Amino acid sequence: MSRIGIVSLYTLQEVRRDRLFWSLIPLMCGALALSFFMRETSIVSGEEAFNRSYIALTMLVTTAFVMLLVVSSVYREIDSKAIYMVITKPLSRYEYVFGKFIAFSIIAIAITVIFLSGALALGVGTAKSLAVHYSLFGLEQMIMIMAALTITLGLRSLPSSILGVAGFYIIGHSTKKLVDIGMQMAQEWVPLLKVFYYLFPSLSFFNAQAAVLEKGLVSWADILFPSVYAGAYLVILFLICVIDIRKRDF
Amino acid sequence: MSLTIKRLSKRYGTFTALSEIDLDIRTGESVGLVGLNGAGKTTLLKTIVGLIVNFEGEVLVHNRAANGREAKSHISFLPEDFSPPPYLTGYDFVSYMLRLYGRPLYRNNVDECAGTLELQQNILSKPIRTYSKGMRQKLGLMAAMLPDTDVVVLDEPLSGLDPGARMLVKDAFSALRTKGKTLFFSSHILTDLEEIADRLVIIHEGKIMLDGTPEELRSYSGRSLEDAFLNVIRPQRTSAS
Repeated sequence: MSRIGIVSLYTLQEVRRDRLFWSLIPLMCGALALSFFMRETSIVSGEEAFNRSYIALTMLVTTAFVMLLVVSSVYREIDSKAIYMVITKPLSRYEYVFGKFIAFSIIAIAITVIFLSGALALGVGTAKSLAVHYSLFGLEQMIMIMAALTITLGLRSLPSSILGVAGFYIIGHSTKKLVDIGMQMAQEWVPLLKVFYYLFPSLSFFNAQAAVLEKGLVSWADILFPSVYAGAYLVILFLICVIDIRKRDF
Repeated sequence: MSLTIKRLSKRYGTFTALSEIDLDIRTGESVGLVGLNGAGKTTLLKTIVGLIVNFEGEVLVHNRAANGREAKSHISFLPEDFSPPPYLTGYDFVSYMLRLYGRPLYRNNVDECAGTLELQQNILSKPIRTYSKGMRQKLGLMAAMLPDTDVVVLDEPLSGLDPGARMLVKDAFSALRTKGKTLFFSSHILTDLEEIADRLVIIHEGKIMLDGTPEELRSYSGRSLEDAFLNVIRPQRTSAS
């Protein structure tokens, strides 16, 4: 097994024994219960309220849970100096980062698949629209994981890392709105705003919620652009993280 | 030569942690690093094992740059106040460390090493979060010794251990020396160092003040090793007395 695989394997080994990991079960149950509660109490269409809540809550639970897991696990390794034992071994620092990324991506994808299965079983939308939506969401999770690794390894402080990751997520979901507002205010800034749009994390690319809820047409081609964008963004974040960690004293 | 350090300097802003350090450690030597808190001991050890990468000068392990993969495959390191990942078991942790060196885990070897350090074998199957400080330190020592690297670098390896455990660790170090391993470690406890080190390097304010045998340190007109150590780092003390 490669050293990247070894780092991933033991990260997964540790995470699955972490108490925080098992808090996922009550969180999942809570999301489901709240969706049913919304269905029963909604004054409009109960079915729509359920579908909307299910998708929103599963996304929120997954993102919050995975990010907390990444930040707490990596920060604990830095704080306890366990990271010293790992990076002084014959492995490059980029292998360490990549190994961690793979481990947390596996966890995020597994949770996403569970929620997708739940959505299919509960008839939240058509199979195709749900598959497209949750595939896009999986890509968003991978970007968020790499961002969380970059931020935590860079800042090495628990509160700052949590704030940094939350900030990245909020900016990511606000970029489109901010650019839209900017475009309405000053047309001459449009080229600059477009650069801003693609340069900043535009996480709104990874959301096909509207297609699921409105039963609109979706195709697998809808994943193509977000996949390329996610790939490019992951490479950029990975390079930033690796350049930073390679030049850093521990 | 196992370790070669040439004109090594490390600055944090305006603070100089290490200043023009020159040091050679031959294969099979056991060298103790002594200094007050903040003298630069940990900085020096971290530079050797590749944790500190921004420095001036040259650090070579078997004639290879210290932060390269080739050099790292010859070195194992135990940091000070270290705590292994709490949710792994002892076996998992040792296996993790060994596999990063590309070596398999042989339970017999692990159990034998645990036995040498009087760490009960059944405890190795339990999560590390249930270990006491001394047990975690012993596990860290196992992880540093089991890969069978040529050079073992340890930062305060005896801290957190009771007198009985310190004796066991010193015996384990003697066994490593017998095998021809190079040991470089820091400690505050001079009497312990005297027992396990062929050579003592005294560092003060980032500079090497003495590099010699424990006997040479004693010659600094001290009643005890501690007294002699203080005379080395504060020469005015000698003249005053």
